[in-house]
Amino acid sequence: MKKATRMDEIDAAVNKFEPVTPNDEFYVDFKNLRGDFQERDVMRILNVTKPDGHYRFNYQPNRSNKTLLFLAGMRGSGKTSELAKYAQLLHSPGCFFVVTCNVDEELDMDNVQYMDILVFQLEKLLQKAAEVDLSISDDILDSMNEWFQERVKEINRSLKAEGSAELEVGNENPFSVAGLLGKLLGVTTKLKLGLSGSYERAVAIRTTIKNRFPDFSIKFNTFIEQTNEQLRREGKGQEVLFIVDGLEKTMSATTRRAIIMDESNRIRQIKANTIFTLPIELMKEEQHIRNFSEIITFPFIKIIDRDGSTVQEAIERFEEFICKRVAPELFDSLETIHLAIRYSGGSPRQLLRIIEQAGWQADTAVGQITNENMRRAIDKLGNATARYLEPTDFDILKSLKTDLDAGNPIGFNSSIQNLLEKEIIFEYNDGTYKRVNPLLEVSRLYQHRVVGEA
Amino acid sequence: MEPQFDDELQQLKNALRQPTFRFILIGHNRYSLYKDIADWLRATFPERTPVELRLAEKDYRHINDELLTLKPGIVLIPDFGWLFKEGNESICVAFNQRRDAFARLDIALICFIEPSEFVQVPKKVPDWWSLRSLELDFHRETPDSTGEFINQELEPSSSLGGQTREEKQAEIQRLLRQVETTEPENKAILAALYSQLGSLFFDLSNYDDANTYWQQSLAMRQQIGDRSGEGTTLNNISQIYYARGDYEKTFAYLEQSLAMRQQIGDRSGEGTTLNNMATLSYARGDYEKTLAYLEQSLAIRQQIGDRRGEGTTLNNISQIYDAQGDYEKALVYLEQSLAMRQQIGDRSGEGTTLNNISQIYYARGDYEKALAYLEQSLAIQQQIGDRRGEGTTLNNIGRIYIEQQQVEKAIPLLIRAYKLFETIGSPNSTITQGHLNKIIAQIGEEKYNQIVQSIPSDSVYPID
Repeated sequence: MKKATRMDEIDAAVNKFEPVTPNDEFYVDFKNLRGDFQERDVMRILNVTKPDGHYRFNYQPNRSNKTLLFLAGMRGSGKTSELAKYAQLLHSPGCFFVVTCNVDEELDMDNVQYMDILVFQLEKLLQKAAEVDLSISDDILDSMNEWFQERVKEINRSLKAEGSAELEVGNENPFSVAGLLGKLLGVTTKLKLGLSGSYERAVAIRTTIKNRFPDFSIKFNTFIEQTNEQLRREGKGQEVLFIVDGLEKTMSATTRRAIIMDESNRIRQIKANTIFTLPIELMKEEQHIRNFSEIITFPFIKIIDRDGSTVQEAIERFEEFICKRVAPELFDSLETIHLAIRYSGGSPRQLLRIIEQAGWQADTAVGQITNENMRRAIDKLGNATARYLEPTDFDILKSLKTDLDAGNPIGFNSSIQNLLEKEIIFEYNDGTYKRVNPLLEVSRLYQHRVVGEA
Repeated sequence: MEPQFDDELQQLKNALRQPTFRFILIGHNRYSLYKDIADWLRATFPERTPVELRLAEKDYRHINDELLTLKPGIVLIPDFGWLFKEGNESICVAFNQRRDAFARLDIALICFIEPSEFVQVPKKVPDWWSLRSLELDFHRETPDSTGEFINQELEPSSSLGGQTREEKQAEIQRLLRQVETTEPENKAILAALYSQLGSLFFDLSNYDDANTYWQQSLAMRQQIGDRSGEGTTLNNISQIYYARGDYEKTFAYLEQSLAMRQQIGDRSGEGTTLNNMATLSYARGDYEKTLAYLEQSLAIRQQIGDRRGEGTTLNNISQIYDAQGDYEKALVYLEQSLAMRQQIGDRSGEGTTLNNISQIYYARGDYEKALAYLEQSLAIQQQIGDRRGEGTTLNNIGRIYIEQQQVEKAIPLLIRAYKLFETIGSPNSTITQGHLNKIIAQIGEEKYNQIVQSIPSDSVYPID
């Protein structure tokens, strides 16, 4: 990633396709600017303290408690970057051994289910353990390996009966990792590959493991505990922390709901510290989810407060966000930068989109993005946003406008959910503070159908 | 492409200037817009020739594998809306999940959808939608024609009042005089006169007046219980909405027409309306439905021995396969259509089919063969005085000459086509004008005028 110092470099610099991690030069920490969301709440839930300036996890009081945390947020709010930050902050000998699992990048299958994610988590843990030469005893590995080999035999018996191709898991180690660890890694990788293969194979694997789930959870949990012990012995971490990103992109909304609601028993049986990203639409099941996990909302950055006042610190942080990517000389004034920030609504992704569009409007011969370019970009994006409005949305927006003008908190229902998902409205603080996407507010359709008729 | 699209095309150009991942949504109301945009992209980015990737009837694995094997560049997905069809939920889910993996590829995905499908995108593939680079809308008033889908439109046929604008206007005056002298109680006659007036105004692309008269005709036919006429008029009114791109209303009228015609056992009319429903589905890019309607229409026409209609439907079925890039199948149907039309002496239809065969060869880049068929088509159309057909074919020949960089040959043909279209009041003149404008932009006005001046007055295609 390179900062744009010329007009033709802007496109690459405002690329919204690559998540930014704390090590990147573009990274900006929006700490304390997401309303009620505080990083310290996440740390508290994870039982992490910072007694000497470094994050520490004390495993003793928490031996039997494992944290399961769902981080819920709108698309483009910066969840992936935030989780990458935690991965970096918390991965240390005195804290966690963090294992990041990007479900959307690495699980190539349709209809991902919870079982698939568990197999994937195990595979990632084994890979990471191999990378740091973690000496897990042969007995432990043998025990796991035997259990999985038996499962593979069951799976293959099932596939053979159906006339499907069997799963090939040999005793030779095809991977570069030596010994039993390599063998176990080989098994889990093959299982994962099998899950992304034919439908019949995926069903056979899932069914077999689900039918043995109590045993699977004992094996898995025991293995995690044994790994935790070894991590502590070798000074590589206090416990394993899984960060599972991308869950919200998988599955249909129905299946996601089924996982959270119906699979919650299985989820509860797994004793490993895990942070999942939560599909935003499942926030309405918050009460149910709190029966077996913690849940935190990760809102957009608040740039305008309820009373209409500007949050100056947020504006300044967004200035930093822009100027790290695009040299300020490529804008005709600070006011032009502020215009983009105002219309971002506090969404980093929307801000990048605005600047990208403004860059397309600009005359490269002029060599700057002008205020007029920015206004045109905002106008175009506003009308584009309005394209997604359906007739029933207008009544909700009119009622929302009335509540907003009166300063009332906005509750939650499925219509509001629909508007949140379409980025028609944005959510801040604990979710009760909502505003209409500022881009939509400038659209001709909104002005006519909502403002005009309200 | 038309000047009204300049802003959209500039935005598209800007969005594609860096060879990086893009997810671009293009709403369009005419299939011809997809083709024109594809051509424009090929011309604008010659070093990154766009490739086409169709999704229809493929499973997720197949789509995934195709995407992963693509070279960096521009990828056109003409049937992106197919993902949103019922039954494709798991494909949407898998596709949505893999967003970040695909976003690492240096491909610009340009996804074509119907305007009404925009609202489906955030619902069906929300994570892709969240990363969208650009959304554009292209709307074309004029119906697709000029060698594309042939639409058997009205009853009575548009040979009413002759072919030229003047002749039709003269006929309108005659009919209006007849209306004045007809007793108001004589609704049957009035309904028929209004129906003809509607047809004439439609031929002249005066849709407001066409609608007025057809609505009056409809009201009268309903009053007198002329159900056959009612079915016909409902079908006709649908074509006004089709011409305007209002597919919802088009469908509503066609449905009513179909129901009526089925009720009264008007099989011939039923075949016509099914054919028109196919046209509508085709415009929406729903090839599956289009084929289904055409097959129904074909079955009826074969049953009742409507060979003319059969020839039309066979021709239309070929267009589906053409649109899907299955040129072999398209040719099979075209050859059947041609044989049928030659058998029954349907010269006008024969000319149309020859023109459509030429389009297959054009699509394959075989310009020599395409020209050969167009010349056959032109000969027939000139023989029978089919000005609309002649204009279409001249336009298409001109287009090939443009492709072959032979603008001096293209210009006289396109001018003749334009004049023909203007004479008969066909909206296709806009398309031909567009080709001429492109030439002017390419070679400059001075050179263009020189060429026009140099066209001999006794040339095969005289300029009036």
